Amino acid sequence: MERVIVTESLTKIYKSGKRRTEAVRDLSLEIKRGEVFGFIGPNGAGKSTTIKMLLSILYPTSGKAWVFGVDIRSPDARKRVGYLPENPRFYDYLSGEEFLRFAGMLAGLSGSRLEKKVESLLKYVGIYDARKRKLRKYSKGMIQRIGLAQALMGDPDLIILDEPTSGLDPLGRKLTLDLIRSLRSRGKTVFFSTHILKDVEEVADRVGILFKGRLLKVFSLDEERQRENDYQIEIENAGIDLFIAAEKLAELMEKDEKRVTFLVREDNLFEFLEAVRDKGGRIITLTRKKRNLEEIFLETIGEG
Amino acid sequence: MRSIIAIFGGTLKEGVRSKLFWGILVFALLLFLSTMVVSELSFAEKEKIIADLGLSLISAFGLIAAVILGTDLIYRDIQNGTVQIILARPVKRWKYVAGKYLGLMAIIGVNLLLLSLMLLFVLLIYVGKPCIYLLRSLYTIFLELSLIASIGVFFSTFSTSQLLSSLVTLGLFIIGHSLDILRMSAGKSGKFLGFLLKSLAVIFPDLDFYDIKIKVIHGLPLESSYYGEILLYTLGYVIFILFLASLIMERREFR
Ligand SMILES: Nc1ncnc2c1ncn2[C@@H]1O[C@H](COP(=O)(O)OP(=O)(O)O)[C@@H](O)[C@H]1O
Ligand SMILES: [Mg+2]
Repeated sequence: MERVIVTESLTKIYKSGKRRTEAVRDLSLEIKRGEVFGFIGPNGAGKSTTIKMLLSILYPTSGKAWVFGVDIRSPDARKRVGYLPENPRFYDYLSGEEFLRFAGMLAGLSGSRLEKKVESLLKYVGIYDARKRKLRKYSKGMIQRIGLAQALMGDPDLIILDEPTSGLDPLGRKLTLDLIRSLRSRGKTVFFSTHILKDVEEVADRVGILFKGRLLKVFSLDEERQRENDYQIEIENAGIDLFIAAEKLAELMEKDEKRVTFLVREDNLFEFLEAVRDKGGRIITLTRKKRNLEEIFLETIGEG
Repeated sequence: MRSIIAIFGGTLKEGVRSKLFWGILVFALLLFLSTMVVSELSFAEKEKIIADLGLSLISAFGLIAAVILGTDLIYRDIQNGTVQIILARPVKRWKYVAGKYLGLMAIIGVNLLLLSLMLLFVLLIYVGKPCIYLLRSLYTIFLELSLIASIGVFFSTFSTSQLLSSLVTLGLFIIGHSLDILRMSAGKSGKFLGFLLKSLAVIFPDLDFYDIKIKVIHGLPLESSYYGEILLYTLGYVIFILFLASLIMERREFR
């Protein structure tokens, strides 16, 4: 599988006077071709900083990164990339159409190919009727749409979106998420940041949880969904034998003097229960886990 | 090349639609009309009065446009984050600077052209003759503005305050027109200060070099090599300053 983004210990430290802010610390990540990656974290986690480093809008303090195998320090790394910044503002006095033409030329288009692309993108994001209007008169939602359209100029293979749904009304949000889905169905790679868990739940294949500049957990949503059927089993009298037997079958969640809690996959349930019986443990509670993303998120940042 | 054209075009369109651009034109038109009144009150030749006042007005308005737009265009792109979507494309940063500057020069050029046409028109209907010879002076005004604009662009690549960069650019404009004073005081000063002042007089652009208004209006002779020399002087200076601006852009980050 082609790796579209690779980062190695990417670190960014802002220095202003005596203050030092570690915005991103030792971030190592791989994004594969064709996946939708949701980069989630609360405000100030370092999402925008990471994205800007990938695009050489900010320079890493240390660490390395490659996009499509090209070192990000080379402009060529950005050849097949489209980008929508957070809270974009474009030229007030250009019309939507003119602005997209501008973006298209920057993406290397010209002539009738450019005109066709401008028209099709205006229609695609649903602002064709407002194409002659100046951007100054666009609503926040329309600006976001024109922003998405400019990111898609030149038909990039990697689309990087920084908080594409923040501040949008439900309709705008739906449009944005639909667009991400349709990009995936066309085999594009999407890297988007958000602080809204639901966004990630709806469209992402994989999720990275960023907190205080550290990438705490990366996981596939599908795998997590399968694990929604895990069982949480609380046991008394768990001896060392039981721990040894459980090692392959379960994940230790909590332990105090009297009780231990294990997380057990559905497939392993009966085998695990047998082990408990054989080793003399006593089951106190047994519940379906049903961990949703929010719980995973809170648990992860609780540890971090 | 295409990216330079795109940035050039975007800058030009944005500029000629701005309030500043139209404000200058309307205001200048009013002042041109008032020069006719002034020339009525004066005993000197009407043509010379109107030409003199007109050229001064054009210089002044051009200066305002060059300073305000020059220090604003890149600055605003950075503040608004527009620069990020441009540089997220595989656009080299010096091309961004070049595109912006050329767009700015086109705006100033259009502005100057319209103001010049107004002046020539006023002279045509009022004095009854097409004063084409004034174009010589308009040419040096344009070159001087090109230089000022490049200084404004230079400051806008790193300044955090547009007002400050405007004031510094204006300051350089004033110094550039007072190098004679600088050279004179260099002669009178001590060794170190004298050397400093002399070096400054070399480093700063000599803007008096551009001032041929009096000669043009009164038909005094100018060496024919002057027009080429001043073009080369301007080009050299502008390219050098834009080179520095590009170096700064290359190193700079956008938050
Ligand atoms: N220009 C800056 N100077 C200093 N600190 C900054 C700057 N920009 C961002 N930060 C800090 O870096 C951290 C990460 O910011 P950011 O990447 O914008 O987070 P996010 O996009 O996840 O909200 C925050 O703590 C923020 O305060
Ligand atoms: Mg952010």
